[in-house]
Amino acid sequence: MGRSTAFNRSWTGLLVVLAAAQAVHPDDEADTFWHLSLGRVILAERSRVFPEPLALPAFTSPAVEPQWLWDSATYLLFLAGSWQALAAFSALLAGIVAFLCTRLVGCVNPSLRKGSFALVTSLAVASAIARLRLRPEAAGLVFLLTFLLLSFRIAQSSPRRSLAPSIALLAVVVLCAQMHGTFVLAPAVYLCVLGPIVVQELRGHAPHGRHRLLSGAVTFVLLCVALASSAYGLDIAHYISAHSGSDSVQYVQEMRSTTWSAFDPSRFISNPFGVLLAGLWSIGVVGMLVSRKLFASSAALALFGSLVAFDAIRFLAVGAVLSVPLAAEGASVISAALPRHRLWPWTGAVVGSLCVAIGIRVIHLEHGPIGSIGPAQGAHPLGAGRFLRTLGQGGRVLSAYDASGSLGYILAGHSRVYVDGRTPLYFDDTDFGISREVFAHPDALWRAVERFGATAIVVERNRLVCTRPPMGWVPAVVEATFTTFVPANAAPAIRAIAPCGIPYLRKHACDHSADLDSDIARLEALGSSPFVRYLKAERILRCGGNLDELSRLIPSRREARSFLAARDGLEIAWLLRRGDARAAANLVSTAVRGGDPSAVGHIAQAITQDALPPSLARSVLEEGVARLADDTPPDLRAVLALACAADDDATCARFHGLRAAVRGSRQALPVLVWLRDHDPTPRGRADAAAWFDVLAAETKRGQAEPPPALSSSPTVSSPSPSAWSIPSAAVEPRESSPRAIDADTRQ
Amino acid sequence: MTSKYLRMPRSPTVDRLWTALLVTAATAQTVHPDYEADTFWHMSLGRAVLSEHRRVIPEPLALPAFISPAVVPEWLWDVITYGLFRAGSWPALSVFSALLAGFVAFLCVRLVHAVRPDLSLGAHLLVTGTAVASVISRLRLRPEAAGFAFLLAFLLLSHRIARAAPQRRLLPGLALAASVTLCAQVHGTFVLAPAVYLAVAGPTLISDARARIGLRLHASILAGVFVALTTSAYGLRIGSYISAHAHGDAVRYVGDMVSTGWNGLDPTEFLRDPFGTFLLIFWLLGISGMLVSRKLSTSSLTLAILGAFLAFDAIRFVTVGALLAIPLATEGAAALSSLLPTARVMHGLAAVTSVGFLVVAIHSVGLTHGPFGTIGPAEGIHPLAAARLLGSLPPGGRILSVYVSGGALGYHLAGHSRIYVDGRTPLYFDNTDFAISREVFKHPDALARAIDRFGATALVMERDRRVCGKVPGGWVAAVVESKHTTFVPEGRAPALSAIAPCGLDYFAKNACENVNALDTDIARLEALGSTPFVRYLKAERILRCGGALDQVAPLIPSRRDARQFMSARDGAEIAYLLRRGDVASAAKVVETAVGDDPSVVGYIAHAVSQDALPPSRARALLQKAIDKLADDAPPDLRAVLALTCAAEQDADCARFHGLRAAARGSRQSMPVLVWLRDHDPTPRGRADAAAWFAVLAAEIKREQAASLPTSASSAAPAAQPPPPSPAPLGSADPPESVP
Repeated sequence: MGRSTAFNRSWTGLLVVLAAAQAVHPDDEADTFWHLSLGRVILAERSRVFPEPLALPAFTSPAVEPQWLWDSATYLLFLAGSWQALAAFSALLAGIVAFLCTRLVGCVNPSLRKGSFALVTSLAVASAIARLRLRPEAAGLVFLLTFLLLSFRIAQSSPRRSLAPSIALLAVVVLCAQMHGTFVLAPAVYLCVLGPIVVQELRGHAPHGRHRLLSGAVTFVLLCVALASSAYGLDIAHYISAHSGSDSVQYVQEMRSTTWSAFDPSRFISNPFGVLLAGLWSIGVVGMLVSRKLFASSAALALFGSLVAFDAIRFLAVGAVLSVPLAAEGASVISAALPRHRLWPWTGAVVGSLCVAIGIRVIHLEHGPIGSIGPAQGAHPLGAGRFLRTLGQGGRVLSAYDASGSLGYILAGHSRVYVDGRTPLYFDDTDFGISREVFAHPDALWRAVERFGATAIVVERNRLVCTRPPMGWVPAVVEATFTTFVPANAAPAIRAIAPCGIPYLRKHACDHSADLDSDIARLEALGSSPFVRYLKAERILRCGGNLDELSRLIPSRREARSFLAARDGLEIAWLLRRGDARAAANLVSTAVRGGDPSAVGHIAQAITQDALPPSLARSVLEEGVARLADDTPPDLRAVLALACAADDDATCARFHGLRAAVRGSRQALPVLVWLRDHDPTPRGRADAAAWFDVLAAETKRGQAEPPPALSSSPTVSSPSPSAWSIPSAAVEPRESSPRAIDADTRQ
Repeated sequence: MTSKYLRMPRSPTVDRLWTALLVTAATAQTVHPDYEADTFWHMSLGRAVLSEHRRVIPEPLALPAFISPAVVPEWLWDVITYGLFRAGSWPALSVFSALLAGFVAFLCVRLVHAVRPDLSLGAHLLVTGTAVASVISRLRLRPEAAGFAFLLAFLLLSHRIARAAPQRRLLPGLALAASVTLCAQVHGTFVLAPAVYLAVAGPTLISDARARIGLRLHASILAGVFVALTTSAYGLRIGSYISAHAHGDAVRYVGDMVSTGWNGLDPTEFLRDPFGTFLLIFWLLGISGMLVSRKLSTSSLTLAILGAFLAFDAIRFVTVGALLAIPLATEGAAALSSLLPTARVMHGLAAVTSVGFLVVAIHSVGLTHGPFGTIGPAEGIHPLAAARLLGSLPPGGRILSVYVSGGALGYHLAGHSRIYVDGRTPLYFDNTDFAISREVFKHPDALARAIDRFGATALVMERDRRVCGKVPGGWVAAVVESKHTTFVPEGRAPALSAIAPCGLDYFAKNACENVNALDTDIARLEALGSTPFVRYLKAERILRCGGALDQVAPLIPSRRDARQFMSARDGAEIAYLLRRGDVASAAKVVETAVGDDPSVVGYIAHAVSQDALPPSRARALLQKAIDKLADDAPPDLRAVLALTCAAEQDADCARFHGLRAAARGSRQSMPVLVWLRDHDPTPRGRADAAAWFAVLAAEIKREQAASLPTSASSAAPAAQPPPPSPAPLGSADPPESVP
């Protein structure tokens, strides 16, 4: 049963729309900004090699930009239509990739059945989705698919008719060499596709075998020559080796080698891209086994793809694209072997659509929310950029790796920045190694300030060095992720907002609410962001103000991805203040499932005050404690044990209550009393009584001298299971609970 | 299979020789020291069972707080091992373990033969070799080894029943029920018997049901198997026995009960841990065979799926998964071999592959349980000296002992003193007991409360735990072993004063200031047993505090004797060799050790900075260590490497390490900066080196002026000047000359 044109078109249309839609999301890549910066310079200099425009004066080497065409195109688009134009461009590229994937499958096996076609094309598109963002790599995938299509076209046509596609292939390689490093794959792709066919024809003494060998060899040589058209010219080997074998690639997340865990099927929902690649390989291998044939060209391409895919995480998509022909051939054999059934096409389409949906969901979680455009909230130090522009020209900013891209673009030479994402393209292993030392060790940071004559430091707030800036330096801008420090005389200091660590407000911020208001006003002057709205809301909740404004001020969860834990804590506190404990519990569950078990600390006090039904309270606590495992704070365990006791679950109450007791939580005392009286085993009752004695003795000793225990003031009651009385001060107040959990976790 | 290749029968001689080779390999690899604390509690329970003549006994080992009776489901194993130990000590146990391993290997071969008697030679060699290699990981002195023998017996007998004519099924049926009954007294594998029987005999059962023959016998066999299940010490409560081992909090924290993750099958770890990969190979063989033959091997596939569930349930079940996948792999290999050419080279290739797998598996066992050829308790693993000391104290002691030490202490103390939670988790100790013990040995305050709660009279714990350095006041170290330290209340036993009870260094900081105390400590430890560790302490004492250097060489234990204190032992040997001026030999020791412990290169860095080694050799050693340490490499070590790079005129390497060392404040990097300033091939490189040199020089100047200008801001809690680099390896002054 072949495919109808209508099916082809509608399925292709669906994949194109999905691929294009998922590309419309905020830009969290620092690289976008340096591409724009270099595009600006290239248009001004009209050269691919130019004086370094962004980095600190110590970096005197000229910049070579092999991706100049991408840079110029994105810069011009940005000038013409801002982020909307860039988003449209990104969506267009993603759509083209999806379209070319379907074309490639059709080209390899035009008679593929509907179900197989739907499955293979959607696996291919779902795999490619991982890298279809506003990156030159997206264009690279377009070019790679074009190489494949043209190579297959050459292979399928007679030598006489292969001239036009050969010329087209050469032209595409030259174009690609101005845009992305994928061009280096062209000769290998050509060789994989044509090689086995030439060998087969020569072996079978086909009439045009020699002719094909000759034309193939000439095209191959010309392809190799075309590689030299990039900005690196004949130095292309250096370009490849820097990206594959240097020290830096071990420390740039996506350049790391792909490990076995990338193919873990149990993580399919959270990271499906390795599994999708394995799926493409499996289909191909199964097809070869069932047919007992070797699909030489496709297998060679897939083998090449697997080498590339294992080289670096970011090459998984390239590996998948190179495996598409093998999967197409395999799917053809498998579908022929299976009994015909009208459900097969639907099965292929449903499984394929599910894979694409999972891929899109992951993109949404990691780079979303899908549908928003512009720079991702909190991912770039835009406030710092605006602030630094107001300072004198010629500044030298010691900026963290992820901050330099956007700072460089915004500052546009007004001030210079430090090592950025152009590693190892411009910055070498030594530069990057030193920058890691600088942002890992305070003493190295101080030396670097001296070495580079820095006038500002922009660093992530969760780094150790953030807490140890050089003497005389003050925080001038605090953003969700980054903090900017300058010498004390360069700008007024932020006083009430904490520059580093987890909480955004200092401990005694409310004692100096004028300072706090002034800090917030200064940050708002640099841009009214969701983060500033959050600060305003936190200020009202902690220090007083108009509570009615809170619902308007608290940013949505999709807006607050870079400060989600703080934002959730705020909303939970507000909901509890309003008496809506159930909504607060729902939010805690959402936060815990999202990977923040400390959120459970926000609601512990409400639970001890019977603000939630026991079963709901228990399930919320269990979710958090299950994630915290052995790092659960003892007081939280005690609260859970109380909830278990209230449910008459002696096993659970014993497990958590005794553990809380051994850690000295006085909140465990009521549970011990309950267990002493109600545990079903004599040993359990004796155990509880013995632990109670230990804690009681400790409490007695503590009354004579300050106790060494960790928990808050003891509350001993003698509850009965029917009338369970949970102590009121079971856990610390809301503000300190999450921190207590965090401190305990660090222990 | 119609292929001519497959019709060729295998030579019985080759079969026998190959089987003998596999049996010998499996047997030989069990001859190694015993690392398992479980061996001891098995023997303890065997002793108690023999004395009580019951399978449910009053708890013989644990602290008085643990008042529940102990159920001993593996009583037969416990009694046998205890009896053997009494009769022939460790050699007898070792022989027993070897015999079991050989028997398992033999049964693996028999199973492959039972599944496909017509298997080609190459496929037979490959499948049997891989099967034995995969099972080797768990063939130790554990009831599990006997469990494998029983599992293979279940498989073989089930095959026999399935293949036999209805009237000939009675005997194997009875044998199956008997073996399940026996297994139920030895190891938990017996719970798999009904599933195995149903999977293997299922297709026969279905066809018999259609033909209405032999159903009564099938039902009788199945009933017999189910009745046999209830003969274990748990009786009808077998469900709770299974669930305790499958779920619960404890299984997440016991090393080999943790679920097998995807990474357990990682082929890139093949040389270190090949057992997951063997399982993967079996599955791939089986699935490929089914695809090639376009046939579904229902029975084998069901077994393999059951095995896969078990394999992913816990790391220790990976071997069970492999055993259950043998029939599928055998069928798959048979189908695949029909595609391959009939050349003899294929047999050779299969044999070589199998032998390779065996070698890798044995090597892996050697890494974790070696050295081969030695028997007895593994050196430093069990707190034997602690047991001797505690045995000499008055009876009725209560010992808070860590999980891994409980087994040996319990056996040797035999009720003289009681111990805390041990490896009988979750068999005897439940989730709460085990969780509390984790709290106790993780948090010092919890340890103090547990002492109070249990009325402890001694503590035995690993020296590298945080709580080791924070025992309550009034407790002193009485025994220090390579891995464990024993504390007792002051006055209960003399305290060790010169030997450090916790941390990396075995000697107290000022141990040499009171050599008499140190000698007394060593003498007291020697009185508890003359071990390689005590010999090391003696050697270290001479090296650090003086003595006859000639005596050091015979005292330093061999590396195979010193697995638990290898780093300290290597340090002593390197120091000794350097003291003798034998830098080349010291470098050899570093070269051997650096792969596992990159910090050993620090011992030789001083010699390297003094040109005592050829630059290329020195560079290779330093490079290997720094590659392992990556961003955690100490700056002075980086500076020494940068010097060797400069000596070899490698500006890239000198710049990479020299500038990073400079950024961290290493004064050792200054000669490299000078060299780079003059010799770096790029103007930027030269300027960079000069600028970093100026920063360091200014820092030295400031220090010389004794002022502290660089400090943390008001945001920082404490103002700190940039710390000077650790003790320089060579001269701290900025040299003018090129290195």
